[in-house]
Amino acid sequence: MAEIQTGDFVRQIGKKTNAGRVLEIRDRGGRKTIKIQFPNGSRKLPMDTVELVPDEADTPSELLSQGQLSGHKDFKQRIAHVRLSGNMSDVFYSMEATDTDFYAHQFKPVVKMLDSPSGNLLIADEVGLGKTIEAGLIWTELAARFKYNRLLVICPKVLCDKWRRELQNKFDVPAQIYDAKGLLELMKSPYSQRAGFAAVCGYQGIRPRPKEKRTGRPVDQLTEVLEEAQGSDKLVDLLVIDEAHHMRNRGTQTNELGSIATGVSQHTAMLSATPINLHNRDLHSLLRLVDDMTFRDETALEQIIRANVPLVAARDGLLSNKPFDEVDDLILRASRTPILRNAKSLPRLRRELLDKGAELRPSDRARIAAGLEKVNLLSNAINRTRRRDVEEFRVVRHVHAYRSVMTSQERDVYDRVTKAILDYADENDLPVGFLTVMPQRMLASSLPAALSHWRKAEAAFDCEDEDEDEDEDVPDEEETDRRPLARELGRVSSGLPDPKVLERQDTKFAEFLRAIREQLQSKPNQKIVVFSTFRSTLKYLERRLHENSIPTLLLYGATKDRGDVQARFEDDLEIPILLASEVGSEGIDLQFAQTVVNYDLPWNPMRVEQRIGRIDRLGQTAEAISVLNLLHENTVDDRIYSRLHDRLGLCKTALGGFEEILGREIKKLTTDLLSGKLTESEQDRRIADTEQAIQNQRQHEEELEREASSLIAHGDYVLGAIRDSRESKNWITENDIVDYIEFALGALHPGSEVRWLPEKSLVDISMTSDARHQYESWCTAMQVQAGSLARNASAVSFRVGKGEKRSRHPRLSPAHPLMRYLAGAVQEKDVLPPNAAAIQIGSSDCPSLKPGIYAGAVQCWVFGEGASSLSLAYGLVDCSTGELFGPDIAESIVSCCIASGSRWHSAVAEIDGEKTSELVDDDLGTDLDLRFHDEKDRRVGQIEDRIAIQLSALEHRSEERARIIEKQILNSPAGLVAANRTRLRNHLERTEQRRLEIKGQSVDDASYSDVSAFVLKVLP
Amino acid sequence: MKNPRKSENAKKLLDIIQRQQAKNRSGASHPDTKPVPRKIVPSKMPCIEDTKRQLEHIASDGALLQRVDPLPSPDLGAEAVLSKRLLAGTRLINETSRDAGLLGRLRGNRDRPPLDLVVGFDLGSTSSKVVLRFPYEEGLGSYAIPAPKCIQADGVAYYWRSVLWQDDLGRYSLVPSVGAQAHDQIKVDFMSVSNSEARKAKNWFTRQALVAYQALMIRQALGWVSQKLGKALDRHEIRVGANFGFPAKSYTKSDVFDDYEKCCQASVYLALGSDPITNESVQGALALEPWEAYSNQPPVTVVPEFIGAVLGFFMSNRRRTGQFILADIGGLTVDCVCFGYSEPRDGDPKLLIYAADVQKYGAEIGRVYAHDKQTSRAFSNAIGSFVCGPIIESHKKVGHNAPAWDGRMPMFLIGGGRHFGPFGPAFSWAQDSLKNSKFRTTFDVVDLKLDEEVDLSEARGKGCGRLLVALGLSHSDLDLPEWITPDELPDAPPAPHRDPDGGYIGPEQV
Repeated sequence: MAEIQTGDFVRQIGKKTNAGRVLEIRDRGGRKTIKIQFPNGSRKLPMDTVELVPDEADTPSELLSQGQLSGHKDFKQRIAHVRLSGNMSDVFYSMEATDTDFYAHQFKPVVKMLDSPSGNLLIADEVGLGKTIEAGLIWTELAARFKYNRLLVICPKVLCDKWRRELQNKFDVPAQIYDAKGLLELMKSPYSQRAGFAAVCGYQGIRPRPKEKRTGRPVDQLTEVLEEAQGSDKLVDLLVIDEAHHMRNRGTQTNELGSIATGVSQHTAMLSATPINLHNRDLHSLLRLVDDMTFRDETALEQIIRANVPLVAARDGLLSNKPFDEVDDLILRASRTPILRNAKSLPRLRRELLDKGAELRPSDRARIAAGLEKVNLLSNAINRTRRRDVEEFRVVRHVHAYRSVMTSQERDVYDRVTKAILDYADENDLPVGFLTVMPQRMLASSLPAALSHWRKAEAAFDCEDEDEDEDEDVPDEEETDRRPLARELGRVSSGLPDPKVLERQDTKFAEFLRAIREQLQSKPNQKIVVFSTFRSTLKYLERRLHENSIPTLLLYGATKDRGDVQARFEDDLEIPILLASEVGSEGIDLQFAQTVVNYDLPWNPMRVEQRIGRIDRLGQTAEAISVLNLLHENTVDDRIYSRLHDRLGLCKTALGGFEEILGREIKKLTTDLLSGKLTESEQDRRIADTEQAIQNQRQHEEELEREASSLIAHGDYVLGAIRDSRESKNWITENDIVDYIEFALGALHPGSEVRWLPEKSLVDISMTSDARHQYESWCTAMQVQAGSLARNASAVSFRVGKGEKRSRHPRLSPAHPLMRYLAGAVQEKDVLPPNAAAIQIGSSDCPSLKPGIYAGAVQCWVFGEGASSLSLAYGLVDCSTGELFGPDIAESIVSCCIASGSRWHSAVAEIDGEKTSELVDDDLGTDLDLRFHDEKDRRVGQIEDRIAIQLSALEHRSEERARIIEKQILNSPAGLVAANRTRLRNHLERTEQRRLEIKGQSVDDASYSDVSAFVLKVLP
Repeated sequence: MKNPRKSENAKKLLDIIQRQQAKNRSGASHPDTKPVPRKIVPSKMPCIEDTKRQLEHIASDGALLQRVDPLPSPDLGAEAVLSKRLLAGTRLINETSRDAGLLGRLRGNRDRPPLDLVVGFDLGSTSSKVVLRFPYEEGLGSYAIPAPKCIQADGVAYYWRSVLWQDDLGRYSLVPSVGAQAHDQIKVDFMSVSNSEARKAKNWFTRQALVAYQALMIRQALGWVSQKLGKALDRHEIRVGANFGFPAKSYTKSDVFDDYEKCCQASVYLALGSDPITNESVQGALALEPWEAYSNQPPVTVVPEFIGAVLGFFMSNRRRTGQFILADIGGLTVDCVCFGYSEPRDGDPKLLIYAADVQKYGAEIGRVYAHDKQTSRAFSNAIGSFVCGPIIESHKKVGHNAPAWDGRMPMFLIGGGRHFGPFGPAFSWAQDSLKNSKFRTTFDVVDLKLDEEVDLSEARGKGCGRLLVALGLSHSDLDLPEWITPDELPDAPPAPHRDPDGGYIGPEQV
């Protein structure tokens, strides 16, 4: 044996995983000793306890046979290290990493985004299910996996502040609101592109203008930068488009904005409450933004839908225990459809099915069904969750109508103003529409408030209607049309009784006051939200309630700090009432309130739903909420309420997403009813017709939705998998993070200090100067911000866990640069080589195993280099019977060991190391090998299918485009031929570039490595 | 000048204590019951010095500190368990070749690499602990040795009562047998005799009891580990070393220290032999000279106890350099050490003992004294003042520029008595008191965790914090940092004298 010299690389004979370089050899008290520099510091050892490190390290099973068994702690550290790498396919990095409560459905989009072939997803959940949170979770997940740092949210302007607050408070993302100029800077500046950003922008400010109208304004420059980067540069890591239905109309500026913004983004999450009707053009145009290649035209969508029919039937058949040959037949049919003809996953799944044949076990069925679901092209492009699918929604709505009878004077005023409006419309030949309907609705809302407002002759009305604010196509001229009407209303109202007189006999307010007092008496500390569409009504109510000693807060479109009003309303027990308009309260979560009062009733039930949705949303703790509707008896409002809202139960159950149908029908009805040309019975008939039409349409839409649901299969399997994941704790806990930091910092930079204050959910970290220097250098090299930790010699606090939501400290998540630095350094210095461990556990902590001795192995499988490229594979065998356990059981046992295991101290004396090592090598090794190759085939199949589909879409589109340019070359004048040829050449080059990009996704290198082998004793 | 009122209070207290002593001597109080709390209500809180005097008095009078646990009766089961262990231990070491100067054993074919085994021994006044560790073997780890139930201290499996029995034939045992005589003050008696003449007297019994107790403990521990790991130890040569703890305050080349070191060597020599442990064999071992015969083999080291307690910390990834304070609060004594730890780039880690003190202010004494709000406060203040002592004293060793004077000083609190209520406020008092002086040091209490990997399965959920010292001592002597006692440590240069005129800008510049 070669003699050990200073500078040699040696390891301990009794602990072969511990290797280091020899610093010094000397005699100490007659003993020859050797000083070795290990990764975590130097140590002196007797000379005869070390040996030179051989060329090939011992495998975990060899260590097992030599009895070199470490404990539970080392085992746990190795697993944590792989899990914290951020690339595990079966770990949710966003779970428990944000200040949100757990709802399984909110992780469904996270799963789908990771599986999405294009990296984009349309989230079309119903209102109130937390789409914002879903987008935040997607960001958290992607940031942890891909180390992303550029987030852009585009939303209606009114929601910008809400997004900023939610990102800050719930996801610890310091987002800022930008206009076109600010965004332009972020897109252009190399610093921002490197250091990252979280930007929130309103649609209105950054919509591209047509080329001919561009004048070099910031928005024009921004458009040019985005257009230039199309396809070639990715300027944004995740683009979130809120209320994406605004982009549904092709050819509009907003649609164009969607198109150019998605073109420069790695991932796009589009949020919209749009109902899913696969035959709907709007859906197609949104899907096109999500995945331009797959959903290139409506024919492609049709093809996908057709291919999905047998696919979904096969999946359902598997899950409902249909005979395997029947399922096989369906898979065969699916694989013959043009779009799936080349899909490699389908033959593999068929083979798997046929191999098992009649012996198909439930777990096999679930696995194959999951495989089929992944082939489904629609399911990975759309996520749709309906309220009825979510278990947490069990809130009952109690709906009450409070009808007041108008006094004769009130009735007289109401009739005279109505007549004046209709006469005005007649005289000026105005169609009955927005202009004439609004004053009438204002009148129905509150007579004294309306009259008082008109007397000031400021405007015809002061409503806060969403349509008015958001629709880009509202002509500016309309405002000018309002002025003569305002003058007319001012003139009419000056001839009417003084508003003060009407105020004294305001029967509606009296009824309202009674209702409010009843509510407050029955539940004294409850919070009530009172809605009106009109600012004048809200201000009137504020004054009147104040006079009645009821404190209120006011929230409408012009309110500057809406978050502050919301917080005051929630925290101040003295303020029971919030007066709000639906625009003002948009995006504000008021689930701590239990009563909604509609002081006036928007005729469009979707508006009513939006109001109720403020309190009937996730997080509502009451079992029932109250909806109080205020009406004047024997008015059009009353008739519409009785026949539509009441009878169709529109306030009672949440509306799915029938905005479009309801809006259309109600618009027609409104026009007819307010034309003043129908008698009362005609009005009744008209309402009945509308009721029927809505009913029919609703049924039809529900059928379409059902059909779409089954075809998209956005179903239970994913949800089940998420719940399983949660139960198996497939997420990174605060404990994992702190343990890992403590271990890694200690091993790499001893002297650094980690102090965890679990009661405050804080961890204080101070690093040695050497650690700070190395961390900062790493951050500079990786182009990420090191933050105060690299500058501060004293401790820096970070948040971990769920407590202290309002804490200002940054959150320490797996995506934090410190975690990434430590994981990289631990890997690089080989601090955690594969080992063997001996663990014991009580049978009560591990109920799925009988007392006895087991052997197991954990491997890390790597497929390519993507963000989900890693997975941990587990194997377990019973040492006495040689029985092999399935991967799921093995995984759950490892989880139990990590959570409740302890070191098995006498393992070396109790096991036969060589025999156990053979079991691990032969039985487990073979099993893991087979499973690895299976998994590799599955992943390769999946990715190749994705590539094949994308390539076929690319070829199709490219050929079409090339044909058009060639035609132009043939027909163009001689002077333009050369230019067009260049266009064609550029087009072909871009296609080639894209082709290479698509092919680059393939899994070329698949490998596995040992993480650990273990022996496990389950104690009786 | 003495405060007459304070003297009056002290007199009152003494009077009550004397009355209690008389009562105890007359047998009015059953020796197995707890002492009756004495109500002392001084009209004003006693000053710190008075409190200290009174605590010393309580400690010096054994009658005031009644034994809470009665001595156990003979237990055949426990005797059988220990006999088997001792037999296994003897079997394990029966091939020891002492003549060749090896302190260890050769067994079987020796075709496997040698195994190092270290005994960590923490001898306490009331309870002792022993931990065995294979410091270089991944698969073997460390083991705290459990005691048979009847001789467990405080009902914790790993705390052995520091009691030794001797029968009429001069044979020693760790468990009682019919007619055997108990020795339960092994450590106290050994440490209390400072007279070198008395110590040197031939056949001074206390030395024999100490050697016999330690030898028995080590031999049975080896037997336990042999029973537990039998197969895994086959065909290995085992080299045994041992580390014993010693109070830091007394850790200077004193008679007590020298004598203890010799006793420890004799204990190990005896433990690793096959002779029964009797008066005769113990005397024989003590008579062996010179010790150098086997001192160059796996060593027997006497280590300041506190190093045992903190060694796990300084060997872990949590270690850091700087100035520390440790308070070991036992039943009878409180040890306080202010020390520094440094890891020079080109040398071995060093532990610099700046100052240490030990006083009989332990929890049992505190319980006698602090029986109401006022005395509890007085007790806390006295302890606080005691803790400040080594910190202030360390100033001359570390100098005026030490970072701890302006910042945090990590504080380790160990010992079974630390949960006694009045100790809590003592450290706040000490911190405030320091802040009032020139030190702006704040204490930063650092948990000393037991190594998760040590087998404590028999503790059944009970805390085993007092194992820290033995666990630390069970590390290889090569892992021990070099420690430097206050005597060996030079004083730091004094703070430079401030020259108020030095920075003065002359009138011509003003």
